[in-house]
Amino acid sequence: MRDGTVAERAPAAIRSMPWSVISVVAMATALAVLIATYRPPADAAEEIGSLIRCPVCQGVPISESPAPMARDMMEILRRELAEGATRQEAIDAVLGAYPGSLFLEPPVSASTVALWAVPLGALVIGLGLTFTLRRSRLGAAAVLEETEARQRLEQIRADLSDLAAQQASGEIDSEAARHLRESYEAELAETEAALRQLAPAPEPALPRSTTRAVAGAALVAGALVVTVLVAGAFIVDRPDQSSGVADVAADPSSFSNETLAAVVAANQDHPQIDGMRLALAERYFEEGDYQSAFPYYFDVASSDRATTAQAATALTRLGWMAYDGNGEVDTALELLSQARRLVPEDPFPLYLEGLIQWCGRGDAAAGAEAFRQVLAGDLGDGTVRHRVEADLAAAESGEACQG
Amino acid sequence: MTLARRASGMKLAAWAVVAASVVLAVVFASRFGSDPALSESPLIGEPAPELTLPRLVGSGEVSLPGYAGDIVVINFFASWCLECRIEHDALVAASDAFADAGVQFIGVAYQDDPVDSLEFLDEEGVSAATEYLVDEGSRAAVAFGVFGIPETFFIDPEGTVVGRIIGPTDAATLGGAIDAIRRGEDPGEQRLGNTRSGPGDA
Amino acid sequence: MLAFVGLAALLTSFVGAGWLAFAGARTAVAQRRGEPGTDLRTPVLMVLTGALASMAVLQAALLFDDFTLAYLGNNHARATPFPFNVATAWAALEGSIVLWGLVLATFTWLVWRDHDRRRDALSAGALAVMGLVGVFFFGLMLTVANPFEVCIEAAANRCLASSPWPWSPIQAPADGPGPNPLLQNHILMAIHPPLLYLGYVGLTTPFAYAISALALTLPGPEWLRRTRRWSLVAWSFLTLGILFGGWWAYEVLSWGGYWAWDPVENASLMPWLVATAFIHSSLVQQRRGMLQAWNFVLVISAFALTILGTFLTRSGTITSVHSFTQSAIGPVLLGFLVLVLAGSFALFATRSHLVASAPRLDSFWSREGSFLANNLILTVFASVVLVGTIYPLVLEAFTGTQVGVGKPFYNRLTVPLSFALLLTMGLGSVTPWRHAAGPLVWNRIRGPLQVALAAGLVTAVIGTRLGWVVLAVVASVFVIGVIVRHLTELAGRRSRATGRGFFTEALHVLRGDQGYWAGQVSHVGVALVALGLAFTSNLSVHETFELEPGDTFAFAGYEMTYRAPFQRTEPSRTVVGANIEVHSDGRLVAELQPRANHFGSDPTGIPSPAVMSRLSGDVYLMLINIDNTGIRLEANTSPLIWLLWVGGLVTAAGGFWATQARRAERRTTALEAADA
Repeated sequence: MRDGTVAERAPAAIRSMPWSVISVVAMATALAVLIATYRPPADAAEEIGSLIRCPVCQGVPISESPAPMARDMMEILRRELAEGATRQEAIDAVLGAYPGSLFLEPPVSASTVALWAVPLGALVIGLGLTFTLRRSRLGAAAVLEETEARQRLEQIRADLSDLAAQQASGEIDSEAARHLRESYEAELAETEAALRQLAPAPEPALPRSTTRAVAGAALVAGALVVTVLVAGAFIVDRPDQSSGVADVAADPSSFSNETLAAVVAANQDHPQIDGMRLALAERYFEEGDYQSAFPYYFDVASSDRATTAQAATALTRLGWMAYDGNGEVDTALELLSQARRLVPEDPFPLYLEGLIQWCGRGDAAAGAEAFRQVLAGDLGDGTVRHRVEADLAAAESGEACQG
Repeated sequence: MTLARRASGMKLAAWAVVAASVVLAVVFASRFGSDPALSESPLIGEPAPELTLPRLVGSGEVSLPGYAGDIVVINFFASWCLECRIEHDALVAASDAFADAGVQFIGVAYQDDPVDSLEFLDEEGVSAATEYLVDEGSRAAVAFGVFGIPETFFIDPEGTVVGRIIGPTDAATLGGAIDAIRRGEDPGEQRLGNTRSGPGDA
Repeated sequence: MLAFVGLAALLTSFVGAGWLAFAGARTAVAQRRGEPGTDLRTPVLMVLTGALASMAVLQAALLFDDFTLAYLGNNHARATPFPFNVATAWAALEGSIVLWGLVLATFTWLVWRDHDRRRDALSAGALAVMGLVGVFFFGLMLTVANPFEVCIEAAANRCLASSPWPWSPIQAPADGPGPNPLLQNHILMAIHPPLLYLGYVGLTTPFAYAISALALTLPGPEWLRRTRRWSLVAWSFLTLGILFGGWWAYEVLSWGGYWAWDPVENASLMPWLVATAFIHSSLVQQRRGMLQAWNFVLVISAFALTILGTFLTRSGTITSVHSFTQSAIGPVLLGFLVLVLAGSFALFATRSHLVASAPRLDSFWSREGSFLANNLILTVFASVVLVGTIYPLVLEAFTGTQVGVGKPFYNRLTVPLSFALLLTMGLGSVTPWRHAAGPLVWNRIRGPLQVALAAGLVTAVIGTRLGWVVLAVVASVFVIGVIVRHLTELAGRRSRATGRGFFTEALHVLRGDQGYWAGQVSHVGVALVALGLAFTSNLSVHETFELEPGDTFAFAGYEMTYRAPFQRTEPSRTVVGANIEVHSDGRLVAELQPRANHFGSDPTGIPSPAVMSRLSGDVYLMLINIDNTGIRLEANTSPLIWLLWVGGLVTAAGGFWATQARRAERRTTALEAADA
């Protein structure tokens, strides 16, 4: 090894081989024996546990997960094994009620054979393709294009000069270098001959009319991209993966009561659900079905997600139903005043309060006072105002309420 | 093999990739609209698992399924589970309403300290007709294949598991499922909202 | 107000990208014919300006708590501290696409800046392709993933409904729920996504050049030379992105692991594997004129896999820790994926007569032979990950059968592949091009081999006799040893020849062929990662303890005492945890606080482990449960886990160095030529 250049040449290397080969073989053998004779403390439960995905985790086996559920599953595994269960029985004791996707090592079966076959196929095809890369005589004769031929000439010349440098540095011995050089030179000659026989280079396979073709290509590609985008924008949102929410944004009026009820039932968690509840309740309310409407109004009134307007509507309706359905005047008035606090500008709860004072309590004066306040506010169009004015007149004249 | 044949082989392979990518896209597209988190329980249609669990409220043990002839509704809950609080009223009301109609409600406290579970029941209320049990070592949860709670299982009078609700249930769904079982139909599985897998689960 | 500016910025980018696609294609065709084309300055700057402005608008909104934007109403809270409020810009779907667009625009601008505007048809074509990709992503932001929607209906701390029209009557919530607590939990989560995006989007550049080369019928090695740097940049960032993702999982997710073969982790691994294969195979084409067609296939696949990864993350097709909530973006990304795959391979098919090259491999026992082996192994590796990730979906779609594919499946196939890869890496680095004489190679590897086997023996005798660990030690020491021996050999020879000092000459050698040595740095990093993987996955121990205050327990050679529970309030979160004192030989060495972080009003906490790092590895404590009486604690060891982090950083550092390496002469002769 005094002279590195010489040491790298084959004869010197061969002389030093026996000792190094012996030492490597000896050490490798010793290592193999050490590894092969080692029996790690086998823990069947740990081994099986590493094949079972913890149902409350993402991709972590129960043998590794600190989750209590995983710990309990390991405990069940251990107990089963201690009681003499077979491997399969122990697995079934833990996984019997879970879908197959929790068992992390897919069994080799008809349906999973592709899992193992695809990598194997990739390996075999890859190996096959690798062998077709070996130099063969077909090369130069099959030059297809002038550019290709010229590139290859350049490549072969570069290979020749690289080869010379490698030989000079001692990386490739002269015998091997001679073989390589001969094959490169033959390839060079063949390629040059082929190039002479080739017709002049054809125009590159590009369209004739640049502008129109490019515009066309760009438009087609752009149109495809835009189509994809637009199509996506029009695809209705799919159900929320975590809560199975149906398309709550749709117009509630297009649903039947039953559909609406099912949607409401299925979407307890959805932020927009209060609108849905309210719509359903209003439907029942209008039909006079207070019994059905009540729970939905109640949910909206007590929901912390509902908007103020939604909550106020629900409270108002609840108040009216308490009076109209159950005759509970005090409850009704309390609910209506709560609604009024939420939406002071809305005259409707106040109007209902007046009606209940008048009709429920028989207190025409209190009713009239309320109607006056309503009329003092912003009431909008004529029919409503007219109705309140009529009620006010009737109450002021001391008439009994007509329901 | 000539270079030209090589090129045409490559051309063929490339078109094959084009075709394969379209097929793959169709497969993926078929997944839109399905819930990847919902895994079908292999328990549906099978006899209910046999278990004996200690009572949370009161003493002694209860054997499952020990209510031949009754519809059994088993609900897994815990004090740390927000959704369980949401659904609790509906369960209590349903249990009371169906108490004399051949429906037995069972609440199983999952991964929970019994002290906390009792506190939970104290705050949220109990149904006299419901059996509240402790799931020691998650045996019931594993036997029923629970992923996260709340989960509610329905067992028909013959002792077959016929339904499962994932997430917080409500009066309408409970009533609907029980009515379906009475009519001899299987309510099947449905997901109603979030579940939680443990106290640390967001 | 901000919504108007943001939308205008996005529109600018969108129009710029469309213009770039069109003008770039025209210029490319013109220049391909030798005619002059137009400069693409204006469209490129439009894309860049718009992208920068849209990110600036989003950041401004986050900085000034402008809750009129629905994105903030759903993902931001006034209390979110720096730097998490900055990172909120990419914590959710819409914002993450803004970041994507910005990175894409930056790469587009860099390509434009570096090309010869008068005659570089290849780059003009590549810019056109990048413009098309830009049309897609900016279009995405204008339609199905609009980050600048305004809130039109609000609850107290959440936006209930939003509108894409900025002139809609706005109703803003007073505050928002804040970003996903998991993301707020650790600083690594703020940098993991940008790094990953730099990697993902970086692969657009080589892809664009490949498509340009095919379309313009310029399949020679030119596009490879032009994109080598970009491929390395993308690859290095991808490496860092994956590394930081694993690191974050380890520090935050509280199960003591860093990789779970989760579909979305796989989605980032696949492009990395294919890009790694490409970095090697492109060298074979540049040096030996082989694998021309294969390089196109690899680049197209790498890019398509990044889109597949994005699709898997965002479509909600698979459940995963990483999934964003889905939207209509799923079908759109799927459509784009099909466009990319079908379009690229159709183009490839029509150009197959140009990319087919004559077989001219002289011998399998050569550098190029080792690169072929490397490509074969990496491709099979990627196919394992791909089939494992999507086969369950395919099976379920067709038969309804659910099958689990997890760690056991992947390990069974990828562990042997990894060892084959390490062996190829060690041998290939010192195998000469075209022909390797046995004795020469033996001479170069026998020393390292002896050292590696000796290291293996030492491990087996004083450490563990677990087969995989011992083999990993042998393989890693071999790889590193071969590289070190080669460097010292070359430097020593030069030193003897010139009489100058050894280290001067070692530096000279390193500087002489930076591309090669940068690659070897990455190889060292990969060997360290392999070692870290083997140790942590085979020798980790774990134990669960039930403790009351004052209890002492022994774990991993330490005496630990549970002192007391604690609770403290930090900005935006409440922390509940346990104080654990760690003693070694009676000396207090650390105080650990495994804890649970409670964000906002959420009653359930995010467990956050306490990690004590030592040279021998980590002790990792997780709080499973805490109540009035005591705690339940899970303790883990992660032996030598720092090898993993250091190895990953070294791997990426090698990649970055290679991008800076002096443009090596195409025909640099063998390293030793200088000594002849």
